[in-house]
Amino acid sequence: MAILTRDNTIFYGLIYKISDKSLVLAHNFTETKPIDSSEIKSEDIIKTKKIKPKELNSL
Amino acid sequence: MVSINSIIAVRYIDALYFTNKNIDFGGFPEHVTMGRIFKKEEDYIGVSFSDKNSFPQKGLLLPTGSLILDAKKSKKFTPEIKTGIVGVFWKDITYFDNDKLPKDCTTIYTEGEFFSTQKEALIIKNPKTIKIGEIVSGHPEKRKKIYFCAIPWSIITSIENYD
Repeated sequence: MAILTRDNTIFYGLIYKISDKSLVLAHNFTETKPIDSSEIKSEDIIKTKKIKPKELNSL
Repeated sequence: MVSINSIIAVRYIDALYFTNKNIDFGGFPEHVTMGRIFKKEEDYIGVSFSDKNSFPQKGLLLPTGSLILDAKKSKKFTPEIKTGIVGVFWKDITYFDNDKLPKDCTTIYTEGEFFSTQKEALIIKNPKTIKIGEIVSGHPEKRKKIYFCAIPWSIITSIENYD
């Protein structure tokens, strides 16, 4: 998934958590099923209001 | 092979550290990284986790030897090591952020007692690891006692045998 925010930053990753106010994109993790939060090595928490209403790309 | 600007999910392996006195090496776990390929060199690829104005802000440099897709193509050492102290130079997975883009993967030097060779890895006992050159790396500082280190053959660049 690629997410474009209102400050023109593009984030890439796997949506790990989502709520009304934010979502968590995991960028780098050890493969487990399901993904264990302790195995996520790099992530970004993106406030929903920062996200432009446009999906850029799908992995 | 993927091209520049592709958005990818790529699997790779990394060196493993063991904090138990008894080693139980069953192979390397698969790590996954997702992002845009912004650089592709002979020795490594650069994966961006976020871009601003098309410039990577944070991401990883992955040695090509660490990529699981390339594992079969990687050079493999067949060293004649049986005992003694060995020093191993290898390329580490290198994390960057705050726009501080490193020029190459961090070179790591690990020295310790030769323990064993496995199909995938060289295993060193009581390893001491130092980083070489400019450090912009996600390589964690190890505060616990490390008893063993398993280094994938595919990311080793050279080996010194001191005995």
